[in-house]
Amino acid sequence: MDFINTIGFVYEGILAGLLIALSCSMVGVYLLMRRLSMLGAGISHSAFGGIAIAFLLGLEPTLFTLFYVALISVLLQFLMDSKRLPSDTILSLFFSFGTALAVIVSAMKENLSANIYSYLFGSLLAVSKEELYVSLFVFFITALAFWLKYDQLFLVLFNEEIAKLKGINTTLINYLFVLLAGMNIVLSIKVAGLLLSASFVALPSMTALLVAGSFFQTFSLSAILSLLSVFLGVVLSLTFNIPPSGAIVMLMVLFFILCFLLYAYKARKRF
Amino acid sequence: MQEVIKVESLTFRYSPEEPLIENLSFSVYEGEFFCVVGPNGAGKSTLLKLLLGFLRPKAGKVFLFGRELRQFNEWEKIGYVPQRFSVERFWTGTVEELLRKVAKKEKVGWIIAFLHLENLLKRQFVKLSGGEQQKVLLAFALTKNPSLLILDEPMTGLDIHAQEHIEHVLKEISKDRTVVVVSHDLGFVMRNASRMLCLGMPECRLVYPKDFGQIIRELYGLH
Repeated sequence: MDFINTIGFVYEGILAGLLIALSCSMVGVYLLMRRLSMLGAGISHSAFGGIAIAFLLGLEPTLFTLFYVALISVLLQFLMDSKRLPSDTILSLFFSFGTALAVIVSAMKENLSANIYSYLFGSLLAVSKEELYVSLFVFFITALAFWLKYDQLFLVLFNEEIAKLKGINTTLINYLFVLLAGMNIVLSIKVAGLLLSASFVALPSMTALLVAGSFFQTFSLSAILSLLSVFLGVVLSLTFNIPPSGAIVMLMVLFFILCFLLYAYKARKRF
Repeated sequence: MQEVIKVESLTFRYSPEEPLIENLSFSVYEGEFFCVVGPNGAGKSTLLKLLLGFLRPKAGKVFLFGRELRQFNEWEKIGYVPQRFSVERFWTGTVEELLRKVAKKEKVGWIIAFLHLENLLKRQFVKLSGGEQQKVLLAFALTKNPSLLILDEPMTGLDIHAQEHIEHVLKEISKDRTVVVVSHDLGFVMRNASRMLCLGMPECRLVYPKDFGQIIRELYGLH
């Protein structure tokens, strides 16, 4: 009974967690197929700078950081397109810049650092109604983009030159999905914390890539694993009084290990 | 005979000091099996990218089916087979997903039968052998029944059996369409090309079959 009562208090967080996990699982597959698995860490640490600025200026941190990261994502894609530097070098530059910015800003005003550093670990159970609405909105546009652009995305990820010849605007597709990835990563910071948010993007999709037998299966499996991790993670968190973000990510790691063992067993059987 | 590709005074350079392709002009006519040869770094793949509009030339023009590249919009007339190594290795799509993405089931039936892909349909592209991947890329390029097929190094990394099979398939395909191939495989070029373009010589040269042997010896320093 206590358990059900507690869920009643934190349903906004659980719902937001499920929505964010679902959309992160989709953008995660896109990022991994483009070999941008580090983008999660790069953007979440860039967002850290955005969160710090929002607190300094007294603005609503989630909304401000969404806009801030949208700009950062577009700039990132632009720099990656210019091909002057490798993607991981660009990402580590943004990673360092965001963290340094947050550290400097947090020392500018008294009591600022406690607010800023609370984002390092996040809290699914402290998600507000407004943040749930924002999560719902971002989930909706992410799902819509995947639904409308699925076939184009399929070819762009296969080979960009072939996609161009089929009349697909590959630049638009890449900008769109990096932008969506950035927005979803910002929201995952609230739920999982800055230190674990990249896991929401990378782990379920990595697991799905390992065992899925088709492109469609990869997206479906990544989504199922994400939802399962959030749901079971919240149950474990409420039952054993452990932080939900840790429980969720630990389950994602566990699913990865299980699938990896299954994959290795199957591969061994084949030879 | 209709000019399928016309290149006029094409110049391209990656760095200002070194022009890779300079003032190149040639035409490819309907029904030809046209090969582009030359040593590494001579600009073969770059030329293909220029022909398909993936790169912009510094000077010169490219015409496809009589229309300047910028105005050309009938891309379904062109089938393109990239180097299979340029396909993303984390991509999990199956052969069936790939073929059905661009054409309806009944339209790809003949290609699947022609290239014997029936047993590969449910398999993931990245888990196929080199020869199988090349067949699938060919099938994909043929889905819209193009009148011009452009291939970038179709024999690279294939074993001798796979090479023979792909060569046989290309011969069949070329009976009713124009084929442009960039290749390192000189045997393949000499057996199949109706004309070839040699890049990497002091002057780029268009060569007819009777001179193939001599030019290839000159180009690669063979005796």
